Amino acid sequence: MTQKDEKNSLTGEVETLRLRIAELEHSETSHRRSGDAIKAIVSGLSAGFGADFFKSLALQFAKILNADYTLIGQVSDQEGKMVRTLALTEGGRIVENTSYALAGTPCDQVLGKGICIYKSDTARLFPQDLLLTQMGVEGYVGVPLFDNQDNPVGIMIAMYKTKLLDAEFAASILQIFASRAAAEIEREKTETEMRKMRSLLSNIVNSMPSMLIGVDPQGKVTQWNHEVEKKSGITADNACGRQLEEVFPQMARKMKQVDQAIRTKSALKNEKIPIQQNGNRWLADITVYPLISNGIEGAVIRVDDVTEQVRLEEMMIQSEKMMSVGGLAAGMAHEINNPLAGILQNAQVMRNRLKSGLARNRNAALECGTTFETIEAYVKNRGIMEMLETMIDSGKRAARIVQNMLSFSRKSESRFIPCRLAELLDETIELASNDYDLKKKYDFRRIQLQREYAPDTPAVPCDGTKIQQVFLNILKNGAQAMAENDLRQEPPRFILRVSPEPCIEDPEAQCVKMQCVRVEIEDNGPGMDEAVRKRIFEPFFTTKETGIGTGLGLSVSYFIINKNHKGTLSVDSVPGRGTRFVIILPLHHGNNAGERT
Amino acid sequence: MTPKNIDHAKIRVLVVDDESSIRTSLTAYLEDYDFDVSEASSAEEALKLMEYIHYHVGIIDLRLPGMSGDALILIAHHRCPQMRFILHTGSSNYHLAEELKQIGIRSEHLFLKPVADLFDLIESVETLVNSTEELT
Repeated sequence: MTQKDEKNSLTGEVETLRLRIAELEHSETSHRRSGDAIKAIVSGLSAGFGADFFKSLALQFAKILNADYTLIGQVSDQEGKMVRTLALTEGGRIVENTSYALAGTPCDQVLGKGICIYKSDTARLFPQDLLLTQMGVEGYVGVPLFDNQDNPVGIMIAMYKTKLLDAEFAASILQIFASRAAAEIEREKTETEMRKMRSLLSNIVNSMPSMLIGVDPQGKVTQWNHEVEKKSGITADNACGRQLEEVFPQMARKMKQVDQAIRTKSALKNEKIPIQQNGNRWLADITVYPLISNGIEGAVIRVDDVTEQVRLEEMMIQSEKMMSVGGLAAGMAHEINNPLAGILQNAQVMRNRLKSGLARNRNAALECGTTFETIEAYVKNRGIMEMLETMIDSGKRAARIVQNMLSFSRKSESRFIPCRLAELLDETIELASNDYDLKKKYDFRRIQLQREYAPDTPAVPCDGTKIQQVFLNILKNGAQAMAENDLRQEPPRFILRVSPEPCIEDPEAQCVKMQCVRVEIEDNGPGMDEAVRKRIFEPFFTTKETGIGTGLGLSVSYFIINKNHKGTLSVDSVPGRGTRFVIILPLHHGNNAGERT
Repeated sequence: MTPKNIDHAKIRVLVVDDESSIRTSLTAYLEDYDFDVSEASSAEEALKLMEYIHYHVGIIDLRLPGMSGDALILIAHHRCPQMRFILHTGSSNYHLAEELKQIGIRSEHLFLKPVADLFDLIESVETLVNSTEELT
């Protein structure tokens, strides 16, 4: 090989090498550039999520790719024809987000398709896209975003007001961040969905009429709905995270059940549990539902205030019981009246025949060979007259009881006259204060009276004497109860209330609302326990010693109010504090209410 | 004329009741006060007696086997308009029938069993007899 040849060939090789090196250098530069660019973008990215993330990504693109506009957009309709920007920059600054239709834009070629590059004349190529012209877009690079199921979810775009020199570089940088952006879009979607679900759930939980409390296996509160907030006065924010027994001490005894429910994975129900809270006593149905979905442990405690329901139920049961007892008593009474008349009449005849004054008696004595005086002396000596008197008195007492029992089934009579119940109550008190029999046992005038009469109470159509009888029965009962309670410091007193009652639900007429008047007679006597309270209206039920009362006063009252007047008579009592009788009488009886039965 | 001046022996009373303890004791009581008393245990028996004897006052139980006390009174009144009646019943929820009201029977003539003091019945008989005497 000659030197020249060598030189030539060398020159050629050098040239090749030089080109090669240049190529390598370029490639290395572009690699380095890419690497640097990625590093720069990553380090400039915000650590945040969602909007923050998209904004910083768009800003980094603008900076690193020297783009005049950058855009990250998300498909915003079902058909994939609209895009809403998640971040938009102009001249390296974030501008307000916007929405646009894809049709006629270069982005239409990107979404769900592939990378698009227009090095120049973009605005001219898409004459329909007026915005492009307005923005003066020359160069355009767009990459599509897909979720992990390869569904198109959005696009990332860089736009230039000048011709695009290094389109591939821009495209590759966008491409590198495409999956990250797509993932963020997906995450955001899921999060939105989750937030929606959560708000729906809490909406549902909060609109429940029951109190709902969620607890974890350690008994920490995780849910606390509006009803619980209302009833407990503790906000959900305050309750969540604290121990249940701390925020709802009445539940302390239920913790064992919570454990049990979680362990056995079965619901546990407790009915009519009395709960003392802020001085109020109410009845609760408590159900503990274990959470059985995988991964979540704990339980939901549902608490329902059933006080009113239980009260209504009790009243219904009471009413049914009383009506059947009343019918039975009346039927029996009927049959008793005849033999009773036999006893009483014969006893009266015997008494007459042993008394002086009747000519027939004298004649009969003489016929028997003796004098009436001898017979009279004998009768006196043997105490026969007293026995007969006792017999007659007992017969009369039995007759009174029967008479009372008969009133249970007596139909209401239409002799109702409007009466002012407050006046009627005052008259009854006057009567009770002057009643000799009553005065013997307890001085009615020693009892304090506290009247709370609402001035606008309407007159009630009723049988005044019957209602007075009821008042008297209740007052006598109360006076007697308070007299037994002599040990207490407080002097005996009645609180008497008369007021209009907006309405009651008439169990017979199925929720027809009626105007009513409410009368309350409250004593501060010893009160009574549940067992007594539940039976107080039953005929012959009495707590008094035998012989003091017949045990019919309150049952007769019950029938007068509930049956004759279609009202309600009920009683509340707290042992040791007193008893309150509540009479509710309707103002209207309807046209045929009195005639029914 | 005050009731005390009436000569009981001249007053004929018919007691109608199916319950013998009530019927006989009432009869005995009235007899002790010198009334002229007959007794019948049914409406039918009472009507038979009335064919022979004119009674001033009938004390009638309302629930009777066979013909009721109400019906008996209406027939008796038809036959003998001067006769007066006292109703004696164990049914406390008895309401005076309209027909009975029309022949002059009022609630004060209604006695519920058991009558605590039988003397009330005697007074009622006397008052009724008085009123007839005034009428006739």
